[in-house]
Amino acid sequence: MSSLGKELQQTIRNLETLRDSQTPPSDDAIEKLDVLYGQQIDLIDAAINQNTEKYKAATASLKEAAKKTKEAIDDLAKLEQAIEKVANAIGKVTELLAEVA
Amino acid sequence: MKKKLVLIAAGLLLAVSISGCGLTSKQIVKTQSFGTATENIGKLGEEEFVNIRNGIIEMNKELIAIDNTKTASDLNFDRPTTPEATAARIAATKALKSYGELLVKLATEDRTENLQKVANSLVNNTAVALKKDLSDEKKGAINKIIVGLGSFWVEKKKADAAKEIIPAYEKPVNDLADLLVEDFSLEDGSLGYIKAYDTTARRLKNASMRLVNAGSQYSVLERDRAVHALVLSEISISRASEISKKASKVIGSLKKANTELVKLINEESYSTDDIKIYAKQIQELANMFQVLAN
Repeated sequence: MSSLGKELQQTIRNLETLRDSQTPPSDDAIEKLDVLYGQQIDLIDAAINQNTEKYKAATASLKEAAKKTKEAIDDLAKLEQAIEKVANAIGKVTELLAEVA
Repeated sequence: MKKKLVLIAAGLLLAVSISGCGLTSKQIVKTQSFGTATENIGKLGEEEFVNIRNGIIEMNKELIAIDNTKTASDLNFDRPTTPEATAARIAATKALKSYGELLVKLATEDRTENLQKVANSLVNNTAVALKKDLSDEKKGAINKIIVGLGSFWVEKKKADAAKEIIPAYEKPVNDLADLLVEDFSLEDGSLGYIKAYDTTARRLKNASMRLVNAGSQYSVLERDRAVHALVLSEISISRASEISKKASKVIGSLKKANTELVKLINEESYSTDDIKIYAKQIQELANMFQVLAN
């Protein structure tokens, strides 16, 4: 299984936890989740070559996003920073997906 | 007269010895049991791939209806379960169904004899699903199936065919099972059909939550639509989880039982507990599909 897929799943799970811990949920979290779900569908649909720099960059970026969202679960003050990391990861995955489109 | 009696006795002796070359009662019962269970897993899988695709289309319709940020370019309602991708999955389940059906026909008194039709379906669907032609050895085993009227000759030939086909098909059946494992896995990093279904449901839940939690910002009609979408998404998430759990267990059992059947065919005294467990799990899966029907 792709490690990119695993990191993406972990980021989604953490962001869902953050969304559900807030009343009302953060619009940022909802918007980013929508994009991440869309990217997960795109990844299922695409034949991704794992041996490219873009794949590695996207995976590393998602790993960072997963880490920061986990930290934000424990300390909500870190949410903004986590959302930034998620946005960055989304950008890297978009670049990767654009290559196979 | 004496010569005639000797000939009759010799004929009877030959008949008894030929009958003895068939399958033992244990081999017949277990081949039937495995065949029926495999036929059912094929049928259930075939229906489920269509259900997953229909479910994704339905959820995406709801998503577009409640999320006004989505545009016409987002209208790939069936993504990633396109007709081509779904047809490839259905070929795999049809191959399993045909294999199960063939084993049942070989192990029973069934003389309706559309064996060749079932055998052809098995060969063709296996080749499509695994994206490669079967080896001559496997095709040869299938081609040995005899179409004809019932007699002990036919029973013996059926038994011979079963003894060749079951070992020859051990690997293709395991390969078909492996294709299904990915499609019914919700593990992190898996990229199959049930994951796509679950992700679509989560996306719909995410979008509907925003409206449901927005208080008086939306009209009663908009809110009603969002609540409908939220309920649909929750049901689908729970359905995906249940199906994934049961299906993964059953597919694992299919592989174990497949190996056990090969050993039983080669060595009568082999234990058959895994086949029993597999047949029971298929029944549980069928019951659960009924409960979770769309």
